Amino acid sequence: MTRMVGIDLGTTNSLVAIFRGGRGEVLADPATGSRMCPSIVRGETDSTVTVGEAAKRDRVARARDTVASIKRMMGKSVAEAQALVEGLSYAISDVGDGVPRVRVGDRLLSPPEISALILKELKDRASAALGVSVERAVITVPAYFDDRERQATRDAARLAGLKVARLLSEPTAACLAYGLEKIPSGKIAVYDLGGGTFDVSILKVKDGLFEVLAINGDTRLGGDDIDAAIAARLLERAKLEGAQFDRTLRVEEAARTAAENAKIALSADVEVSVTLDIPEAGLRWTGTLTRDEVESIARPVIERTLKLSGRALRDSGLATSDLDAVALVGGSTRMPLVRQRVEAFFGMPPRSDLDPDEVVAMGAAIQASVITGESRGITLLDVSPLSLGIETMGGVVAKIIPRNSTLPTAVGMEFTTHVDGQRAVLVHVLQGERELAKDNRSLARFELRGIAPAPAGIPRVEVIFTLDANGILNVLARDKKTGLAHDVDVRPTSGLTDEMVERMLIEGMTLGAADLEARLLVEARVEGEKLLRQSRKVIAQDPTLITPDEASQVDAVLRALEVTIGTDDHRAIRRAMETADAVTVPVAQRLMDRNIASFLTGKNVDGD
Amino acid sequence: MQDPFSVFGVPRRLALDLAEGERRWHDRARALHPDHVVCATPVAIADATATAAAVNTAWKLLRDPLLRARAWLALEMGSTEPDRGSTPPLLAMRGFRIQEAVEAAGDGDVYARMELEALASEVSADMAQARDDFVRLAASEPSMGDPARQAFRASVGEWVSRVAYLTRQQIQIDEARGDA
Repeated sequence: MTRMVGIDLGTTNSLVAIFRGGRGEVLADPATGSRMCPSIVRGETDSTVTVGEAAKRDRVARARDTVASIKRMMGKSVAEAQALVEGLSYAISDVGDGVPRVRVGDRLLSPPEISALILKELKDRASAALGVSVERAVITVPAYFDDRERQATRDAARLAGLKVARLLSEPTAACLAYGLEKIPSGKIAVYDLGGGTFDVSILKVKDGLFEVLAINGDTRLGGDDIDAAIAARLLERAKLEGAQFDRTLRVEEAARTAAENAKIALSADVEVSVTLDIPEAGLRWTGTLTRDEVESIARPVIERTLKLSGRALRDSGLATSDLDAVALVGGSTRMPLVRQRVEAFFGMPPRSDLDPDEVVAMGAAIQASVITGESRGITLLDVSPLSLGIETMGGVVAKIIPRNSTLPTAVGMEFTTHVDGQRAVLVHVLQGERELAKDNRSLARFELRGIAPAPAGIPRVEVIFTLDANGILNVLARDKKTGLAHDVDVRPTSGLTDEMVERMLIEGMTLGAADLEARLLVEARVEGEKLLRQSRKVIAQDPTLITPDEASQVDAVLRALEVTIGTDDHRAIRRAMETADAVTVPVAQRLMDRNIASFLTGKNVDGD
Repeated sequence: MQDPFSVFGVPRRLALDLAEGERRWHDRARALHPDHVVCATPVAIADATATAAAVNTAWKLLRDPLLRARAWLALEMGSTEPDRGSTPPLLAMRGFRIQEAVEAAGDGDVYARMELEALASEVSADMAQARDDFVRLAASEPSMGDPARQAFRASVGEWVSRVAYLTRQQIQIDEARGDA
């Protein structure tokens, strides 16, 4: 038996929850009793890794081997990651495939692989607590995560051996928890200031329907930024007061840890004493820090969150007076100044009666119960955070799906040729609000190929862009004249390919001290899923070339394979693959013979 | 473009009860959402996603009077690119004034900022007027086959180009004020 859990994969802390007794319940680590798992990973010399509390405890002493805030790197290109890494304790390596790498022990791992280590820890924790194997999860992401960042999160789950039942926006998850327990109806603003990201969502809740009206946010704004600024202030003061020291990695880490602790203590006290003591760097300093001082550092961050809140409200068409409640989410909302400023901005005292650190995971668990059918009568209508567009002449973006569109959403666009006899059309998909392509985030470039030679403007290829319930882009191309359809494999410009994920899955298994059976299972699943995906793709190209009998036969064997992949019997998976092969290969062969495969293939080309 | 009226299951008319429309959308969204697919194979989820997306897109077009009028025109004219009609001269003149004010306000000209505020209230007054006009226009829609429908289409076309123009002006002003 398996069970679906809800996971809040955070920048600084991660949590796992289940639906029990009509509510989301965060699971504690059976070993330590702690409910939050720091999103920190440390590589050891013997190729193993330490994740969570233990990695956090020795963060200063082992700064060189410790990786924190990896969520900031998810879905980023090498250049973007290098720009973001300043102030963090690790370096970004470029191995030439467009995906950044970070050293963990003696290995270079991509951000999804490192996130997978955290997810694996939560998965194991939940499996141990529940006594059953946990294989499916609802995972939350910042509402403002773009397609690349969402894809990277999905890849991480896959690498951790988890099937993503749904990617859910963090503020929406929080609203679900509040809606179920505290605020069953009304218009609600969710203000979510976490360690690394800020999101604000405006929702309408009525009779179990959660409709997101508008969202806004910043994926690079959070409590971490406040900590970093406080840390810089502490070191500056130590220097001014005559302390002589080198700014080593350990000094930076010590200052950051002291800053974080001081900030937390100042939520209750008005003054704290801070000591920095790193003998090997010659640093020994003690001073005091006041709440006023920390608040003056935090103020610009908070003012920016209020500006973004104002934009979300405007997009929702509501005024602050229309709102029934404001809910605070994320550990950073414990700062008294945040509460004061939020209250002043929205004109009402904000609610935090559900633990701001746990409410997102609780909501994810509720959504898991909706998907399994355990909870009925709840529907979430989430929206797309950013506009989706394509590049047109002169590098200008034509918006095809505006931001704040209810998910899922789809739009069809017709493409044609500009030159006589042109055989291919290049499509560049972007996400963002700016007018010029170069100012937006490039999601993917793909080519519509195999267009029959004709005068310019005559061929007509319809491309359907769909944002699914997870906010992930799917593209389907169809030739208007022949009706032939083709799935276009849109991989992000800087993401892992299916092949890379598969290789990492198998390599990850061989590197660990895993037993043979487990490894065989992973291999069988990876290959089974690949067969499933490819068969469906080939068959979908032109369903009219298959007889109804064949279609139902193919469908039956593929479904059987899919079910078997969900079990943990690698021999059964291999048998199901053989059966599926016997049925699908002759059909696929025939389609190939008719030269369909080469007719309209969408293929990723090199991005920027 | 799919016909949003038929996808949504309402007659092709400009007048639409928004509260009733929203109830209908919520009911259908509840019933169709991919999260509620019981046999959640990739194919079943893809099918549910396509159906739910079609309904969501239809409602997005219908809930907004400008988008609804455009969809209506496109269906009436049998083309996806309705005639834009010419720009009303008074609006075009204000377009130039906005352009100038935006540029001068960007250079920090205080008077240009005041001018921008004045233009903003002009545009929103026109917008309010256009909303009222739409309600009257929609109420006078002749039935299919009525010869008066031809002339009515022209009036809808004019209304669409006026509101499209006003919307552009509003965005232009909002952006300039946001930067200031």
